[in-house]
Amino acid sequence: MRSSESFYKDGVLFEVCENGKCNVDQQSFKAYFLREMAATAELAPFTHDNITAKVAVAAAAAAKTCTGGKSGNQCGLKWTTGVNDGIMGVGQSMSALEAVQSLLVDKVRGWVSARKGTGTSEGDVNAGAGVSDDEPYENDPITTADRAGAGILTALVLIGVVGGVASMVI
Amino acid sequence: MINYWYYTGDTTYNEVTMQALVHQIGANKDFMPENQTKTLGNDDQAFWGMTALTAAETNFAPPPAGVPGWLALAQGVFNEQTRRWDELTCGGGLRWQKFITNIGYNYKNTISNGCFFNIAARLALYTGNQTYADWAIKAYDWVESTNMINDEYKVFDGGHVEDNCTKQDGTRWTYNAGVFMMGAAAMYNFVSLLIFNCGQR
Repeated sequence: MRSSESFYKDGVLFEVCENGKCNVDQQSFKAYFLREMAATAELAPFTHDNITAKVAVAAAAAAKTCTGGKSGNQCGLKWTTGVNDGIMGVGQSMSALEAVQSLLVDKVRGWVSARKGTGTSEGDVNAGAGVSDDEPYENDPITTADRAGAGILTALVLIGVVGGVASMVI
Repeated sequence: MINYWYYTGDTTYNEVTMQALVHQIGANKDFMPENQTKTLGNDDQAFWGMTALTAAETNFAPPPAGVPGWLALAQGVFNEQTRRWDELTCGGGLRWQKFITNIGYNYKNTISNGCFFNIAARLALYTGNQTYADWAIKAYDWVESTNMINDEYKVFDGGHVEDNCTKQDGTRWTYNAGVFMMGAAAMYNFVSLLIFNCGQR
């Protein structure tokens, strides 16, 4: 928590690339950070007050930028400016949505788990066991049609080579 | 989108969320669909694994019949990534890319290892199985050993295998710090429950 203090400018969350240019992935990083912060507040209650205070500032700042695009409610990238900066996209929407909905972290019923007997998601401890890393994709068996196609391509290349050589010789 | 439903109770987008998740599972049921194999890194696969975990943790509707449960999907990602743990370089860790032909195969980045730690910690919390917690500790210790997380808990972006991960990319992205913060919180919760249960006995 303490080491992340440098992620804020005047209390508002910002990403280091916002000083220059953020790529598409980087435009969504604040969404994950806030998602992880809200989950932390739920899982480790001693962080709760600190986190919810930061989320509240982020949500208010993010919402102020959601005035752009045709719809008039698309969100901008930088939350530190108080206005829409004209840089809009899916990452910006994800980040602003995560900021605003994280305000509701105290209203939820909490995570479930198999261990507590509240979670019922079906598991498989051996999942992924039979998957080989060496063969990312299986090739389909080669068919007669494939062979015919390969033959035609080979013939065309040969004609090209022979024709090219012939034209040079002549 | 799962969180949107979890926080607001609005089910409007649940169907499209379910469709997107199921579409991404792929033939091997491991969030490595064939159309993505050329570009998919460990971190990309893990983001889907974490999404499946969120679905399990929030009691999102289970996937349709014939599709493994959210927990099983996350376990699949975890199991595959444990096999990619590479002690030949940098004393351990996951590489960014899974395939040798991809740019970034020589990079052991913080987010791939952070996501793995996050998944391991949350699987421990959900299932109560110590094996996952052991992997989470192993992953965290390795990240700390390479100084990807330094003594002040500053989280950097990763190191290259050529210099044995001794030189850190010094960029500090929010999501690298976040993924560890949440994983650590899950471990805290996991351990507190253990202590609580001991106290009850």
